[in-house]
Amino acid sequence: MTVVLEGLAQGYGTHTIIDQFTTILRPGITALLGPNGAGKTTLLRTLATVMPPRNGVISLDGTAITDERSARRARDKIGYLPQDFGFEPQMTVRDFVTYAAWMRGVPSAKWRQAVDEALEMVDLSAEQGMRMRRLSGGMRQRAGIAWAVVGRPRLVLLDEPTVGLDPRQRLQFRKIISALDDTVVVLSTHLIDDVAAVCDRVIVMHGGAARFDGSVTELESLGHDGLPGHSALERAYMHLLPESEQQL
Amino acid sequence: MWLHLRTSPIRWSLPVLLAVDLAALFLRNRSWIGVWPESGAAAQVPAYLLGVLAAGVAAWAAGAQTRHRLHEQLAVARVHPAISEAYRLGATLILLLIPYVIGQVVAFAVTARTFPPGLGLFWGYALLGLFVMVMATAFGWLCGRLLGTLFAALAASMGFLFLLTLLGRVGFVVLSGRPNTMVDPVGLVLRLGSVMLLLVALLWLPSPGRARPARRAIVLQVAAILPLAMVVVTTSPVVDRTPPGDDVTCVNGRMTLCIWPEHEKYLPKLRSLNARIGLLPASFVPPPRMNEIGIERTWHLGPDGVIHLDGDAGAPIFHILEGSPWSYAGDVSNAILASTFGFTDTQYCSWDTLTSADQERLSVLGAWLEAYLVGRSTPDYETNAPMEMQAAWARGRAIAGEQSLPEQFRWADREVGDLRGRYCKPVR
Repeated sequence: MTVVLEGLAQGYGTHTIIDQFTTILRPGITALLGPNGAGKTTLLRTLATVMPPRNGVISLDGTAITDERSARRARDKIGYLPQDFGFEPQMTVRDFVTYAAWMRGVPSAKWRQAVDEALEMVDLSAEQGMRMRRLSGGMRQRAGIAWAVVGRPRLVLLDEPTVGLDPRQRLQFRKIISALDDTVVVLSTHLIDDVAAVCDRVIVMHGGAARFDGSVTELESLGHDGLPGHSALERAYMHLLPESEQQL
Repeated sequence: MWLHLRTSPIRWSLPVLLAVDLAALFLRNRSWIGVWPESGAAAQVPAYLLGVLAAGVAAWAAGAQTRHRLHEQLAVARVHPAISEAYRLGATLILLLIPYVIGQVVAFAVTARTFPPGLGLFWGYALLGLFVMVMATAFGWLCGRLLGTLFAALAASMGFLFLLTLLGRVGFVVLSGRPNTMVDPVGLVLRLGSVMLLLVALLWLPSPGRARPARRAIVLQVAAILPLAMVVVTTSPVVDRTPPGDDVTCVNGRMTLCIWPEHEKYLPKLRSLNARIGLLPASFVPPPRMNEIGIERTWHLGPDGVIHLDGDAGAPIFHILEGSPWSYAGDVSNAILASTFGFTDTQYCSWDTLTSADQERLSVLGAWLEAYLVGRSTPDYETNAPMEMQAAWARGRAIAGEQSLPEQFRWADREVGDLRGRYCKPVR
């Protein structure tokens, strides 16, 4: 799977959030890093086809998404988990993931297998009969990831998936997404630790544009002493911010 | 669909809705038992009550995606939004119809024990109630999708109640299934068709998560509501039935009482009433035949060239209202007095000179006859007639309740003879 974003522009009302964004996404884990308002969520929503781009083109494996119809055709290849994702509290974990499989267009004959696989991936097979409302925060987040990965979509978009998770749960999350080896995974995060631990590639965004696009090692090399941060990666991140935001 | 049915919180409201349905079915009255059209109508009546609740529940269910913040995830579904909406709406409709359908099944089972004629009429009323339930659900769903969730539920229930009150003025609400009427099949098909059209249009309502409302979808909703509104306002839910002709069921005796075959359960009571008529003094002259309303219809061509129903032609009529013997005894009593005294006989009688004192005596006699025919002295109805008239009726009923039968007959015979002598020539 190759996802091409070409001259992408997006915004809300008269406010432009992303302008002239171009990149190519390939299998592997790509982190979108950046401060609040950088355009990470907007980019993920646009990639997920929640909202059509104002300008530019998104192509999945060479097929351009030009309208609602082509977007719908592409959606069986896209798994998307918003930051504050929703669920029907009455549903069991299995119902919730089955619902996702149906909505993603997984053929009904394959629901059982796809749901089993997704639950196993997030280690929730034993809790599949629990109601969603009864799950702990970490389990709920894993159920959300199962929602995003059921049916093995080739493009998985996760918006701030580790917010609110304790250290153990974050380690568990990293293990889960590391297993999505043949998938284009894009996750937005504030947490540089996560980036260092699991990501193959980092796009640092600011003001709707990419300030950096490269590997974690390449990003790390940008960090230098004199900037705030406890690790080279944090200092590199600070280096990419505008000068006015570099000092605390 | 099964997923939605299994997980919908509406499931928890089903016992309450079912209790409301059965309470409305059995606590209002039970005269419908044993008469198919009345059973259908009685089981249809809870639909108005359930409809008010269903509208609120449907609005609540329609807002579930907003309440549970599912829009973002569902916005990227491969499944067409109208299809996923159809499953949600379908599940809501099925759940809300369960108490209504159970009510209908119970009414069916209760009347099926005697299995009288006229089962076909039952289904018409059952479908009419179904229409009300579907309309309430559609109304609630529309409110739920257009308004916020909690407010929508309240607004939908109150709105549907208001709508019922308004439509009640144009005959929308059907409370009884008398055998002389039936659900209009054409009107019913139009109602069901137009409400189904609205349901389909609801599937294209723009998602609340959309930045801009889809103008086309709004136009579609309005275009779907208009036919339903027009059908509801311009068609009557029930129409008069064709007279049964030779299929009529009659009780013979001093007078012949004919009823609709569907009312066969009243035959024993009518036989008993006819036997009492047979015991009346000879001075009483019952009409040869009385028909339940709608058994015969006579038409005449008016001076305006239009054919009118002639209410005065043919045998006098009686009603059987909610099984009350007082309803038909009152009609029979009036008909017997009219025939005995010849109130319309201007050739031999001059009732236009009737004094108020004699009017009162006629009222006493009429009330006595009514109570005698029923065999009880306490009526099951209330009236707001003038006090002096009510006092006269009370006196007549007291005679029926306190005096022996020979005394009653002697008194009645005297009254008939005296009153006739005052106003009619003896030759009659």
